[in-house]
Amino acid sequence: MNGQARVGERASSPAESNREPGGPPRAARALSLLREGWIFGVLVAIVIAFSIASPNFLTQANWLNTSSTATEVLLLAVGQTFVIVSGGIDLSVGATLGLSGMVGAWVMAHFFGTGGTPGGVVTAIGVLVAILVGALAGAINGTLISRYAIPPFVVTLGTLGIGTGLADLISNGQEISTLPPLIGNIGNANIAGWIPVPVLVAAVISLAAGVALARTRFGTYTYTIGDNRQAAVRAGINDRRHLTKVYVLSGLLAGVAGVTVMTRLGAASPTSGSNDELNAIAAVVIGGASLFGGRGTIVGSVIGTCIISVLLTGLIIVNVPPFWQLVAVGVVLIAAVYIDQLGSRGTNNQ
Amino acid sequence: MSGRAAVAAARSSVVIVVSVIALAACGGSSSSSSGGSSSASSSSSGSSSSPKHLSVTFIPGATGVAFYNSLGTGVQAEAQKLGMTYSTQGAADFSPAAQTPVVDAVCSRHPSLLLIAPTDPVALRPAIQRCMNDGIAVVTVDTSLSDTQGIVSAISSNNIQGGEAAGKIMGQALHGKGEVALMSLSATASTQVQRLQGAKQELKSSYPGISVVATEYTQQAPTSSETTARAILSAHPGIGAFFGAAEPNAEGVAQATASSSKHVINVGYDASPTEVGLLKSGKISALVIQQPALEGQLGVQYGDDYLTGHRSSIKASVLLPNVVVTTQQAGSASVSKYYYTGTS
Repeated sequence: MNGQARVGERASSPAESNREPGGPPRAARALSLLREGWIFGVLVAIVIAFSIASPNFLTQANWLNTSSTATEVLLLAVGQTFVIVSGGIDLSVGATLGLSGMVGAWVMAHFFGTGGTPGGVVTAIGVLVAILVGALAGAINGTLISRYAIPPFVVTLGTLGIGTGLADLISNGQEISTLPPLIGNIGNANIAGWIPVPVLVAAVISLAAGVALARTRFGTYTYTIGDNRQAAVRAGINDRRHLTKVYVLSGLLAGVAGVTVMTRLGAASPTSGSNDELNAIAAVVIGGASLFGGRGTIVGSVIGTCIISVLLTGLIIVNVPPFWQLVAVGVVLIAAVYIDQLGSRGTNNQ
Repeated sequence: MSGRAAVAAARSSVVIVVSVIALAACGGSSSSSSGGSSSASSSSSGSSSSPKHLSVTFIPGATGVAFYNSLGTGVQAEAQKLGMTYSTQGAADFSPAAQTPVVDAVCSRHPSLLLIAPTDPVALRPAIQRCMNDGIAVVTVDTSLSDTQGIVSAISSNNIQGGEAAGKIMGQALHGKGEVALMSLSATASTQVQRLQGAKQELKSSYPGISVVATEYTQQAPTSSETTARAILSAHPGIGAFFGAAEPNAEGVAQATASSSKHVINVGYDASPTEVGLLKSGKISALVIQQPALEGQLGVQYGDDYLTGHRSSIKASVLLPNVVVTTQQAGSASVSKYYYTGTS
């Protein structure tokens, strides 16, 4: 009786046999905490350096700009963290961001243009449509990757092109700016003058995602599949269904990012999000995730996003010429990952 | 062990980060030193201590474009003349999502005057509005906003006239008969649309014997224009002339027609160093050239007038005419002043 009960228990929570109730094993968790420490140190060093270099860096205006800029990359990076931890990659998120914004805007312009419907309702429909488009794009990625076993790099490279093309097709490459005024008002509204609404939304989503990855079965499955997919399958995890969910999540968050960009600009542009996938991947990697899967945390990705965004605005504020900014960001990316390796080598030797 | 590794890693992280920023900042002050001191400390002390000292920042639609580089040189030269501190910042991509954070960051530095080529007539309005709310004077150059309220002046080229000039060159060269193809970077960007519109109008009204057999939109890279031009040549072997409304178009057409035995008229827009080289060698037949340096110069003048209270001399909107230069005239000293500069 007792034995049978235990078997049943293991079958219902297969991955937990060698793991803590959620997230990575305890040793790995301690290691990731150390890594986040290094990376956080890098962020603090950058902030201090900029503060010394310019009195305009630690200001309300720059905080508002930096945090709003970070929102876009952060939402993509959070989704990308799940994807990369599961051993995949999602190159399509930037295109999905642009596409979902454009579809949402098209729907809004369509409803708003005919008149009659209140702006609040139109906005709600547009936002919902944009997020659904993101989720749908993610579902297509996930299905192609998990059911048809096409490599994630290839699938999402393909959908990157498809998404970009479709976003251009919606209004012939043009921005859609005939949106309810509410859209622009949301994006430019600050709570207590310091917290833009999109930043708050991204912060809440990141917190929830952090808990989901570190403390829930969903997170544990993601780590297990990324660590060793065959072992995950043998342990009874439905790897296909789980991977599909991971890509749906990534696409859905790209849809949310599409909405936040649209609220910031007061218009939807098909060029929005282009190259953002690379920023998001860089943020996740700076945050200590392994491109081979099984390793990475939301906290790390949040810090990685902060580093990228602080560099973006800080280098402008200290008036570094634009081309040198690209060089500087590239150097910091490589340096941060090198430092991360130094740190983990130290702990592995222990 | 781990303690030592921790210290080493933390130390190296700080060293690397600080040196990267220091290096980049050095690059900044050295490359823009010709426009007066533009290091963060001097410009900020300038704006806070003496209200008379003015500064101008130029934000192009995208970095690395000869047209915007020339515009920047015009801004810089005029700023130097008027004793203003000059700096420039921009995004690599021509996109409102990429330009908006740059505008916000520039405004955190509180320049007295912002010269900007907005990448979208509507989407850039919120960021530019924030700058104006902070008391920064804003002049738009090249492209503009649909809502120009609060803008000191909107200066751009007359793109319809430029397109008409291109249509006229093609019409004359083909003696009013034949097939032409049009290329541009975008089906919707106002500058591109107006140039093609001008060319079509001119051909339709003055050269009814000429038909436009293809209108194609390409990417920024010249190779994209080359591929497109080759495809057009395959589809329409009898084509007599191309008009490309943007820098890379004529460059791509020149490559595509180089191997063709038939002489094809290639009319381009702007005058990047590459285009000028192709013009002189005859691979481009004629260029419609804007006056970006003049746009920049006027923009700074109006901004300065606005800031110093001489507001009666400001024109709210200016449309500058374009200049046409053909291969025959290309070497002449009187036209070389219109060529764009390759460096910013």
